[in-house]
Amino acid sequence: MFRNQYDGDVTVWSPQGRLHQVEYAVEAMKQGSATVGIKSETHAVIVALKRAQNDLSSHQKKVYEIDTHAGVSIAGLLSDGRILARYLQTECSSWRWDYKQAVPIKKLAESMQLKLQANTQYYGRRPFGVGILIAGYDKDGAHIIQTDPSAEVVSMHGTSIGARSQSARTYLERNVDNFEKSTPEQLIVHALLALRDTLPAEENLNAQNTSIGIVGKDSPFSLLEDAQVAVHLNQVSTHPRTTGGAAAAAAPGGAEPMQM
Amino acid sequence: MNAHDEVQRTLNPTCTGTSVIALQYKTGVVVLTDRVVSYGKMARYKNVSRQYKVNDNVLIAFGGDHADFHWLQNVIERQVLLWKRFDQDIGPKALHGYLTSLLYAKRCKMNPVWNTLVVAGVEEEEKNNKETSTPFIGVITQKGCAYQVKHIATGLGAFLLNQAVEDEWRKKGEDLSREEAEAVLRKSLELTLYHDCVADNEFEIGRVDATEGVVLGKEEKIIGDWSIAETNCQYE
Amino acid sequence: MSSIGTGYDLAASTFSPDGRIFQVEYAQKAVDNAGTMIAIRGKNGVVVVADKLISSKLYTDNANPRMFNVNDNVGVAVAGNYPDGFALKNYAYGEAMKWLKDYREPMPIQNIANSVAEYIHIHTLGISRPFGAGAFFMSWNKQTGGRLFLVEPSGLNYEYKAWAVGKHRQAAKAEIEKLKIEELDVNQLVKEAARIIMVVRDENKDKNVQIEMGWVGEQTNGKYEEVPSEVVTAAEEWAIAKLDEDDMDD
Repeated sequence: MFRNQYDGDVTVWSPQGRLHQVEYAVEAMKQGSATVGIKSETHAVIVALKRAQNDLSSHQKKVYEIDTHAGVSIAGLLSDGRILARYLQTECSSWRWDYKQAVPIKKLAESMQLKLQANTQYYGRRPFGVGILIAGYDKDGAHIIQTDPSAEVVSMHGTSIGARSQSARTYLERNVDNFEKSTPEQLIVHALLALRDTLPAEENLNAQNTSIGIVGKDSPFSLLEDAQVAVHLNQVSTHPRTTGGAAAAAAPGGAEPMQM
Repeated sequence: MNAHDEVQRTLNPTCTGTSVIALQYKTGVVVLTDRVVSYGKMARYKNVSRQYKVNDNVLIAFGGDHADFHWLQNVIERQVLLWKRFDQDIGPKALHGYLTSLLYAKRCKMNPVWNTLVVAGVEEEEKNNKETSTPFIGVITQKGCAYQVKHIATGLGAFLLNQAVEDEWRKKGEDLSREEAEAVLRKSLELTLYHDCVADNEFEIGRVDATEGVVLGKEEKIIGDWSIAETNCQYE
Repeated sequence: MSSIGTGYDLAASTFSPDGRIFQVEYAQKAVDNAGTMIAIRGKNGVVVVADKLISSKLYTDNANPRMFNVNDNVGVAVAGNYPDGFALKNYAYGEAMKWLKDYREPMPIQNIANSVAEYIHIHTLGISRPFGAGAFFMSWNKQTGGRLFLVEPSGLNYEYKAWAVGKHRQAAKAEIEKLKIEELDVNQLVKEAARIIMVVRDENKDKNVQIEMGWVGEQTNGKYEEVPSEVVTAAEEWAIAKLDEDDMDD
């Protein structure tokens, strides 16, 4: 069943000049569990909420290192995200092969944008059903890059994508002026507080369902171990939960089609 | 492979330049090249530079085939544009790395670029912070053999000068001033002039300085002391 | 017009009975509905200005720029669907690189515009969807003076003295026609362009908008550059004062 005759394919424009298939792919991203990225002058942090299919399965990996100076987190179809993470890894290594040094983050953003755009134009492909956040540090300082399936790729002070991410963005917009001068520890706390706002009241962050990645000046990208995650979560637990944050944001209902 | 499939390649350089001499000083690098183009052993053209300004941080000097370098110049120009697109100025380290891969790949296809390159510059660790910039000299041979050095003499200079430059360098090392470094270069050129028949007495000294950026040299001339010629038994 | 529901508008490879290609027209809508963009050629240069929606303060300064260098001398400003425009800019850049490799000199603006137009045109033949973006190309030098081209989703490529695309293009064109643009210096053009962008805005709908500007001319020595932010701010202030003044007169 199609909603109208213009939404079956990415290669068709609607009479209003819109691409419905691309817009639906953005919906796929919005169903995946949330991820948050923020940066200071010297560091960039990404945190992500992992889901497990059931009690017996492990949590899905959502944060990847792509080079010593950059990492990504994913929201949406995780298998699409893994492809993009792998793509970025090869971009990083081919730049290193050519120039014996780390690739500028702006180059990664551009390559990403062109790759995503191609999947919104050419027949026989579908857009990637995933959004990613790139956290990186280069000569221009710290970066958070947000991408989505429509190939919008944009540099942010802080952002969040995925399910109920509006709640996280509300938190970030309220606090964005503090980020620039934050210490790495403070950044992680801000990111976790924003991430927590995407959870329904009965759930909470824990060392198993939370990933933290950080990169910055003189410190290569690192994906924190569960024990380290727990330390940061302790810091967060002292902050009272804002009621209404998650509840106010409309949660997409119904069962989820794939593991996100 | 049939006879007519055989690829013919240039097996000899035609219009060539000889030695490049470069030396680090406290806050930058100085580079000396002469200004003659040789055709075999004939001094075919005068007043031709062998130094190319890549951007404010990088200067390349070359020995070997001029035409090959002109081709390389275009390759480099496009690399500069590529980096600009990402708001970056390509640094000497990155360019040295890139040219190393390029020259090695070409020689593996049995089609080498007939140049010895000296990539001179200052490497910016952070944008807009000259304090962290460091001088850089990288060498690449036409076989893709590459290394980084504090001072270098290529071409016939490699046989004649490296010890002389090294001796001067050891006296002061990192603390060499620009004037002292340039004096070493001028003295070195004088030495090649006596021994290298394709070296010329008209030359230029370019530099890359952390604060001034790339400064191309002006044409200079030395005569040297030819009284020793009297004692050379090979002369009639 | 009969387009919706007829089945003649589902692919760029299909003509309608009255000889139209609706998919191309729909792609043009993506440009028509996007933020206004104006380009004007003046006495000694070309200025381009775009109105951009900045929906959150989480964006960094000048996130998603619409204006780029194709090479040192030629600028491109893309209007419409942003990722499509970005892909066009990338194609133009690639062509300019190829030209530089082959001819060892920068690609002239006419050739850049032609080559991008050809690329866009191929996408109107039905193999894939047309581009939902158009591109202004601009340059200036002593010999030719200012030059301004617009390439559209249909693959059309015309040279202009001045033009506007996007949401409020009609009003903007009417405003441009009131000016004697041939007599205007680039510094005056920047101010007038800012004023026009602001006057055609819909006060109720166009909120959180920001101006982006690019220029090339005598004062930039023929190099295409992003207009410095303090110049943009000054132009905006001038425009606001001018608009208030006009309101007083009314």
